[in-house]
Amino acid sequence: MAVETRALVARVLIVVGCLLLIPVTAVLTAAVKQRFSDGPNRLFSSGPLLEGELYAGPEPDWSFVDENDIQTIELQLLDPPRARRIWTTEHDGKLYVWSGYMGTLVGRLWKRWPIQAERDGRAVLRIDGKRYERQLVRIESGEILEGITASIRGKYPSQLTRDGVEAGDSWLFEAASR
Amino acid sequence: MESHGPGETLAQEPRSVPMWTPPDADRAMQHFYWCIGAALVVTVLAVLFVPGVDDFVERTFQGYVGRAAR
Repeated sequence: MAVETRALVARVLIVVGCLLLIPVTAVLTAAVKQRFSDGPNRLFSSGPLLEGELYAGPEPDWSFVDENDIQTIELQLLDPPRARRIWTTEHDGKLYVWSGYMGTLVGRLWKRWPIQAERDGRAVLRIDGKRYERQLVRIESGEILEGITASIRGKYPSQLTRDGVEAGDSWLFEAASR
Repeated sequence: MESHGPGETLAQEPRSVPMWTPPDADRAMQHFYWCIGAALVVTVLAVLFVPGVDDFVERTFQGYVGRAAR
C-alpha cells in the first residue's frame, strides 16, 4: 500500500509540475519578448529607448507632467540599458520618480533599478514620445520630502510619506539635468 | 530439489520493488506529456504572436508580484 501511495504521490507531483510549466513558460516568454522591444509595457523591462526625439534645450517646465495627468513614464538607465515604466510627479519645477516596495525582500528582488540608479544615475526618460537625458539623484531625507510626497499623494492613490522615504521603504529620485 | 552446477550460485540479486501503476497509467502519462508539450508550444506562440496575450500575462503576473511585495 505504501508503494502504491508513493507512486500516486509521484504522479500527482509530476502532473502538477507539468501544469505549472505552462504559466511559467507564458511569463518567461512575455519577459523575453518585452526585452527585445523599444519601451516597457507594465512590469517587465524592455531594451533601450531608441525612438523619439532627443530633447535639447533649456530646462523643461515639468509641470506638464501633472497638468496633462501623465500617469507613467518610461525610464531607462544607461547601465544597464533597460527601460521600465514608472510613476512620476513634478514638484516646485523639478521632476521626481520613485520606487515603492523597497522595504521587502520580494520588492528588492523585483525593483532592482533604484539600486542600479544609485550606483549610476545617468538615465533617459521618454515622456509623450520625447526623450530627455537626466541624472537620477536619490533624496533620502529632508524637509523637501514633505512637499514631494504630498504632490505624489495628490496625483496617485498612494500612502507615500516622508517617514516612508526616510525609512527606506520607498526610494525617491530627482530627475535632475545632466 | 534442483541441483546446482559448479558455476552457479545460490545468492540472488536483490530485486527492486516494482512501482505499482494502474493499468494503462503509463500510456495515459505518455499522452499527458504530449499534451503538455503541445500546450507549451501553443503558449509560447500565443504570447509571441496573438495581440493582447502578452499584456494579459504581464498584468496577471504583476498582480501576483505586487501582492507578494507588500
